[in-house]
Amino acid sequence: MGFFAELFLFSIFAGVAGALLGIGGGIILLPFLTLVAGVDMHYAAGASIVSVVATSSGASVAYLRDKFVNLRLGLILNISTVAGAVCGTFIAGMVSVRVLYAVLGIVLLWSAILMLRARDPAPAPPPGDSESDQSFSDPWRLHNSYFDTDLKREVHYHVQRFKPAFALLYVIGVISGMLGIGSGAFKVLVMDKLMQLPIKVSTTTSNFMVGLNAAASAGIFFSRGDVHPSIAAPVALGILVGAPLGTKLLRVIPNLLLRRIFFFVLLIGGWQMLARAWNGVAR
Amino acid sequence: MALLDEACVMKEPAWNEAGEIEIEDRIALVTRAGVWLSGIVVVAGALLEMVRSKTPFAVGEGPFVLHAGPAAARETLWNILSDVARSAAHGNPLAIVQAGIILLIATPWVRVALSIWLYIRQRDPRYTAVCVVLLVTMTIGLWFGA
Repeated sequence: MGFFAELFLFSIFAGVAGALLGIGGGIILLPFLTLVAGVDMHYAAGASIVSVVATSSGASVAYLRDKFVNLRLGLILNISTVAGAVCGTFIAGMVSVRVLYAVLGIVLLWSAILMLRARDPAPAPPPGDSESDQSFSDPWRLHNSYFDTDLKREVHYHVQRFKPAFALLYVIGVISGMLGIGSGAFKVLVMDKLMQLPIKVSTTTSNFMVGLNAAASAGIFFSRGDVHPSIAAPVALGILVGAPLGTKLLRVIPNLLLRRIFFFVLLIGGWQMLARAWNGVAR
Repeated sequence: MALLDEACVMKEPAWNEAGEIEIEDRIALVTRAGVWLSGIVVVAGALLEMVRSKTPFAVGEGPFVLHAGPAAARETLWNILSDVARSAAHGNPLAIVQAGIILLIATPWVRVALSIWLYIRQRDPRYTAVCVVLLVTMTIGLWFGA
């Protein structure tokens, strides 16, 4: 019973962090389950995929209602990430796992440095992006706005460099599918750095997206027998309590602080990936 | 907090058409219903497990009826789902918990399926197509992955 309570309480924290950062929470939950709680690697991965769905659904309710999420952008980009993940599952084993982890680790650490150089949280509409990008973004009505509770005004933003972002997310989807990991942090990065979206739009739209990805791959974990109710239940319940709290926090948190927190998550994630590359862990 | 809530009400849906606002609100509503439903089922199963089981939430070794662990590795997804449903109907507490988790995993699927319907109703062929392609891709992933 103490074990149930332990998992439940930590999952509340993971739910808050996952909802706030749009990363699903696998980066936080997986090391806790395996290293601290001593859960079997397979059951930890199964509970982790459940936690991603729980975070996404639990937080999306508030984020959709508050119009943080760019729904149309999320739906289109999800095609790229899900298709990539499906292809990645098929070609898993063709490239060295350690090489892939090393690449992802370096990308995350490099992004962390970029993230530290924070820019204006509310970018002005683009002065000169190329015409080809505009031609895609406009008829699909991807440009949007949201009410920024930090700046206390409506922020209008343009979606930039859609095509490269779509292609990049496909590649990231393939790699994450090959490794069987989520890609929430990369989604936020692509939206933030490449598409130049406000940080809260990036994290909440990513939060919407990761649930669809995880739900698509949850069947794999179920059929492997990796989802154990005794472990997934406290995790799911904790997340469902924590994620809505995270959405309340996102409303009040300053944009710059959110970036700083994301910087640390990138450091942790990058370090994890490099450690796996170094040690040659299979997952 | 009250000030914040006021600020949120005050925002005007300037950039969006009115219909789009509606889509987001509807998806939020259905997602909330799914989350509550699955949460209640998981809690009910967990409470039952605490009352009935001598060793509640034992991880166990398998093979057991719930298809977790190595025994499940050769099972098809369909068999697993129907077995969980059958055991849950017989009142197996952990099966009820597992059924709740399956409901939770279904919520994103419902989100996409609902979007298809809402975009059809708005006569928006582009985003109807986007959601159909997305749903098909997800299904292919589930089908071949599982």
